[in-house]
Amino acid sequence: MDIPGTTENIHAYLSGQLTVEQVEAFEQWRDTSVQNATLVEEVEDAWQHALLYESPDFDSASAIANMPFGKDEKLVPVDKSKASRQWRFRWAAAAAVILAMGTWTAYQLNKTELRTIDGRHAQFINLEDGTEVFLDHNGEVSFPEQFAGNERRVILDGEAYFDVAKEAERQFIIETDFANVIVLGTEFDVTEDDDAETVEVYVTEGKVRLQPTGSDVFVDIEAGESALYEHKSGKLQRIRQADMNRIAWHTRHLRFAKTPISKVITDIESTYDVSIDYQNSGIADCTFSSLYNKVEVTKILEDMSVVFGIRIASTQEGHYVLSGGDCNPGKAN
Amino acid sequence: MNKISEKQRSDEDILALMRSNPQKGFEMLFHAFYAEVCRHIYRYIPNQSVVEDIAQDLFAELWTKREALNITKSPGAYLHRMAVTRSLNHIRDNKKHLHVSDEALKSSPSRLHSAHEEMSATELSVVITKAIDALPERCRLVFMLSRFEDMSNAGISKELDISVKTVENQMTKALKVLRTAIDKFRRIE
Repeated sequence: MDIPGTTENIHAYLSGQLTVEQVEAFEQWRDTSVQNATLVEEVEDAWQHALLYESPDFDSASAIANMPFGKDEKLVPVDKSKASRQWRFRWAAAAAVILAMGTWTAYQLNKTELRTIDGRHAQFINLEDGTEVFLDHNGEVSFPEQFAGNERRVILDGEAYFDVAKEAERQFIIETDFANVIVLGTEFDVTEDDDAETVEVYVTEGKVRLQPTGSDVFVDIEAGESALYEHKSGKLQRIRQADMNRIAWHTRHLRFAKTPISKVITDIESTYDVSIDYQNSGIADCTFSSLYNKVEVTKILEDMSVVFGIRIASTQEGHYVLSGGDCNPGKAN
Repeated sequence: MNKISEKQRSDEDILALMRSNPQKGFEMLFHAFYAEVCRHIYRYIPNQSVVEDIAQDLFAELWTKREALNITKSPGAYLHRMAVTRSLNHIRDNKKHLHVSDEALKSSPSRLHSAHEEMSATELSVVITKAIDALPERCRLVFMLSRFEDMSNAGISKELDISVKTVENQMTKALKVLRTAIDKFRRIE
């Protein structure tokens, strides 16, 4: 092997077609410069993700009529898309029920009092002004039935996602123990952590101000950014490249760009509220790249299984065990 | 219940039924594996009606030979091997076709182009599938055999009766196209 740095040699390396000596020579060449290493990394990335290729679906139910053994059509396979539609319908129904219960509770309460709703009992609240609040399981929001005066003020404990109705006259303010979030735009996520004494805001749309309680300083952040306030140290920080996977529990929008599997797994766990064990710690640093918009958790796990040769088992609802696999299964052969 | 052992059990059920009640057993085998076999063949022959013909011939032949058939372990693995062999046989028998159809492939819009044209690709698997399906036929075939069958360049060269150099060139081309597609996809987001 004379010039190792061509794509065909990288392919030979990745597909395990080089001899031990050639592998050594190749790796030496790879490690001589950043450009070489980057090229290998890029080709490897393409090689690895090619496994995500998907052939179209075929239907055995209509084809069996052509078979000598298949005149009987009783065995009709379950239509996967129909099943997931039903699932979604059931979810919508459940949400409606919770909402109805919330309304009923509201009726029981005195109008001037603050109502408190927590994420274990309701996931969604529609405020008087049309603002929508989505509660994570640890979120708790207190709000009046009617906002008084010229501002809209709610109190938050834990995490919630807000889609605030636009109203120029009445400012929207979220009070937490340590800081206030003043809304200058529309959609964002707020997390107040009582133990760590922090408040974190992620903005998906519009503009938001985070201001520590009783303080004059504040940061304004926009879409794609986050802000963090640490009460203990008094540190107030604006993060321009926010990790938007943090709020995927609501947006169902996950983005992985050469993300280590260990992080992919924690993101999946918090997004879908599932638990994932992996028995092969050797895969923790393999990197995965993909983008998901409102897919089911199994789709992501299946993609990872394809790319890394991981086996997936589900021992119980919401619990997955990953085993085997390696960063580049092709090379192992 | 562990998914893997569930799968093993259902494989055993199918094989047992194929012995005790061949008609029902084959029906079950067909429903369990037909789509998978088709999707497998499609990797090498991206033409849905040809794929279905090959797959149905395969199952029909198994039915004819059912008395002599001896599948002991995994019907999936057995069918997988058959699907690859059948695909390669078909390609060999239609070799002329392979050389002329590079253009034909380009002019017939692939299913993904039509199905996903309007919606922006939000998943990498869609982007990759599109990019691979848009490759010239031989380039696509070489790449897929290397990627999904772990065939060596020498093996592919022998199987398709082309030089090793051609295999290498096609691989380089396919990987370049994929890199560009993935890179473009990441930039959009």
